[in-house]
Amino acid sequence: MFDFFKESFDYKTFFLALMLGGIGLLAVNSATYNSGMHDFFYKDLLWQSIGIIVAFSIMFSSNRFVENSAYFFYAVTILLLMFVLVAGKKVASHTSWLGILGVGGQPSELAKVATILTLSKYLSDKGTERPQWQVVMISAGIVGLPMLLTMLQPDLGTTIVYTAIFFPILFWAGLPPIVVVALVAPLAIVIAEFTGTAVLIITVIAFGVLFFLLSRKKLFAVTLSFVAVSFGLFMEYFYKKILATHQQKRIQIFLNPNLDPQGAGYNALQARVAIGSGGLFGKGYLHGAQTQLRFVPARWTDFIFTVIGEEFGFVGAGVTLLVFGALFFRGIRIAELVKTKFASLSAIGITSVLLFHVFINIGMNINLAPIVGIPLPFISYGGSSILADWMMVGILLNFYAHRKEH
Amino acid sequence: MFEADFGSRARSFMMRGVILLALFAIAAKLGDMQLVNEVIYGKKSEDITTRVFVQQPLRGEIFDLNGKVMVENDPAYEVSVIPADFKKSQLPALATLLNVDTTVIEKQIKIGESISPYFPVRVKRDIAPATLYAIEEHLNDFRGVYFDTEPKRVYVGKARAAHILGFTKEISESQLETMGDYYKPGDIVGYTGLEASYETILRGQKGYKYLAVNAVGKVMGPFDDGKLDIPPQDGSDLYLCVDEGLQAMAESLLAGKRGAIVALDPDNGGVLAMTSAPDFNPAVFSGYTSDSQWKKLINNPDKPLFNRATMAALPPGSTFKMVLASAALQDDVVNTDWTIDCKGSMLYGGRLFHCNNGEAHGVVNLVQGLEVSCNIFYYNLMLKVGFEKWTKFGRLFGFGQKTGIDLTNESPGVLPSKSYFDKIFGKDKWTNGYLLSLAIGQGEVSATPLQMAAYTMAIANYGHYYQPHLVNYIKDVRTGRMYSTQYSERTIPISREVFNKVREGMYLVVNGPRGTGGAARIPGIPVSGKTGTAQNPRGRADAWFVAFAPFEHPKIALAIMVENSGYGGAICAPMARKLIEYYLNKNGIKSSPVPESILASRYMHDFRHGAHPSYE
Repeated sequence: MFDFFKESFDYKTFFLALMLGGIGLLAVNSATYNSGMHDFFYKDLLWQSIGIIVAFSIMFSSNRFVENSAYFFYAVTILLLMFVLVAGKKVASHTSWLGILGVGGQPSELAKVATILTLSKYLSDKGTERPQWQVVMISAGIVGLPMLLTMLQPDLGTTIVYTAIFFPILFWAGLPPIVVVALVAPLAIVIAEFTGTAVLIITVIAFGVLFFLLSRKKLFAVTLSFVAVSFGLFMEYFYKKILATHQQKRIQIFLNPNLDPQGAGYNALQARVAIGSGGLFGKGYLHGAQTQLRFVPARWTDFIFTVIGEEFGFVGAGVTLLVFGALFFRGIRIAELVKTKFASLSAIGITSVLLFHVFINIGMNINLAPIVGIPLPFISYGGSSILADWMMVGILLNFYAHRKEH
Repeated sequence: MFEADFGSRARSFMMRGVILLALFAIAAKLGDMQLVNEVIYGKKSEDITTRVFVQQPLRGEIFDLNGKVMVENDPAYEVSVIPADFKKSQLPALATLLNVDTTVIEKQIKIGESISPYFPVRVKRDIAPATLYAIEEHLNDFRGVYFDTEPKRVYVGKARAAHILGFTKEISESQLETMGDYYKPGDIVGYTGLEASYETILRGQKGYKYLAVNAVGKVMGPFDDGKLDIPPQDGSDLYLCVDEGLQAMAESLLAGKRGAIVALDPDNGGVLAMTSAPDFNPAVFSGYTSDSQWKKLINNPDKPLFNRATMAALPPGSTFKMVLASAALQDDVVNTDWTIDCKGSMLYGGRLFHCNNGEAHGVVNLVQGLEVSCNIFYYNLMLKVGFEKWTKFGRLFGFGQKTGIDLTNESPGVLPSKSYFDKIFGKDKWTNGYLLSLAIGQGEVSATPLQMAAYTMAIANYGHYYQPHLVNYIKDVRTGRMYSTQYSERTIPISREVFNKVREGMYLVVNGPRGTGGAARIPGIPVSGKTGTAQNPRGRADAWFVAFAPFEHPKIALAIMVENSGYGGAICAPMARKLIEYYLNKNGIKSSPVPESILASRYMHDFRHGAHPSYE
């Protein structure tokens, strides 16, 4: 045992995650302190503890345990997602259905982890000597299935998280840059169209230039550029002619919540006021006027970063960011250290999913990203998401422990 | 595959770059908010927060054909409360100040909390100017109570046009569910008339202003210099086809009666006037409407809110005879040589059918049958033409279907057909005797005054049918651009020769020696028309009159209906004369002479009878 902790335990990953869990407990405590919902703190403590136990269990598992259970785990979570869709209709809320087991939970949080592992396993297995386009299509299917089921719930935030699984893992697997760019292009063109016609034109031109720079075959680049231009024109037509005015408006509000001051815009502004008023050192723990006076909605889940920003100021928020940054770098390092391709790809997937969560969640607190409602890893209150975060840490710890084995 | 590049140094370098970029972007934005702009976000006064106040746009104004304003806006004053900032202990004092029951305020606050406790909810609108200053002075003693202006509808001009314009009112709970997420409780929406059918065009877009509010709920000024504010966008103006003067005259003619008048412009289908009596004063709804006022209007047995012009589907009586006449001539069932000897009554199916008042018209043909409104002739004609053709031509003239006028509520009326009779009476449970009533526009057939006016317009136009409409142009007040509205038009497949005969009969109704509509005669203006008197099981007959003028290039087509009043020729024809005379003189329309063929008509010999125009 002593030897294990000397040789095989990744202190860095574990303690970085532990620090984030601690910051989360402090923030949840403050956010619920005056709200009569203080039992949330103890529930958070319970979930963090369960998470650590789960992480250690995975860490102590055998070398190929994670890899061998990937497909099974994926199948189970897909079934759970389907069950939620069917049962959720009957019960009208997808948390109560698991009440039978005494736990409320969102399978979509677990499905993210299962999808990372399954895509990594598929790409590291033999049989990928197929043509490149077939590998990409099968990969898209692996990610697309849980993505579709999540979209039907409907949970837009978690749906877009899957893009942070698909692109980075394929990129790490060695997909040629031109293919990665070509895959990203449609997504970027859709977003550009919703932002404005000028942005759309610039985006399409930029992709055209990239295609010519990255491809040695000029005909291929011309074809890709032509497809990008056609797609851009189609999106322009679709957005301006097919979508009704109120649908356009909804998209605009999504991208810029300030347009809807009585809806998402109000929450976003209150969050900004709270964080901005924190200044350099913050107002002190439990002294954040905005959060304590309950001006900020959902301040223990989606907007928990406001508590950190207001009460601990720029310094506190900066420390939190540094801890996250260190954890992400550690994830990349593990991807480089491990000997199996599966572990390497999975580590990249875990890192990019966590990064995506952090960027979008903090981004929506500070007007950098649309309000999509995805949690801040380890910090936002919520059983399933904390459990999923610690599972991912456990997987990284397992990879590190077996880093020298094939 | 791709083994060569899997996990390469270059790719790991790029991955780290993305992480740094994302975290740097967050840190930069945080620095901007927390270090550079902390003053905006209230570091100095830690308990300052923001509140969002809705800014109501000006609702579009409505103008008549000649650009005279009919509806505009005036500022009114309202008091609102932010539930989160308002203390329950202030309730009695505020209720006393506003002169309302505490329960009214409590109810409003409850509605407000259901949206968000942080948004202002209106507790009283349209405060009387007299109490304005007293309230303003005392408002400073309250916490979370605000004072604002909102536009209120003002009706100006001679005409009320209550059923055209409609009214606005606070949105109801059921409307909130169906009208989309733009609306919030307390919003004003168009309830009826054009206010309802052009709601999204008239209303404009709400604006928002952010105010900084301190811990005791006092407004400290605009938040962040109003940079986040969204200004309201005013609604577009409507320019109608309605002639305000003609409308006012139509309203005065129906004063004290129950009925409707619709006048159309045969050149485009625009509604020149449309009135329904009794009407109501739309200004009653423009500010704060008390429940008792609302109930009084709703429970009035004469239904003043009901638009008889588009909603009252009634048997149109003999004004419907032109449908049968057109069917007979167009499908060559008879020509004008076919005659009937009217002896004042006829026996059919063991039942005695009378001509109007049992009068014997003698030998009449189709044209004379219209002039004297001979029922016996049209009974016989119906039996020759048959049910199917009658229904087919009724449909061509737009009966049994909505005209598509730009109002939200319209009745299609009933145009019976064989299958309809089979449905309501049962197969083989009805006889041809039922058809005789239909021939003279009675029994199961029903039409709205609007449909009757549109049908008259189609006859005046030799079959060209324009979709009746109220709005001519929409003006975007931001750009000043005028948009013309689009309406459908069609040509009824009936020949000019057939219309010549039908129009000749209608000319004789007014100008012929035995015509039933002589009361509509105007020296120098060739008016054509048709009277109708429809039996009403509840009281006296409903009087109808349809008319158009001048004979060539008609400039006005109208339908008049007065419930339970008597003969169309006596009650409605004189109204038509006044309206046509007023409208044509006002617009300086010179009548071209009536064609020789009609003036020299062989029926003119009847002058020797020296008969007075008899009211049908």
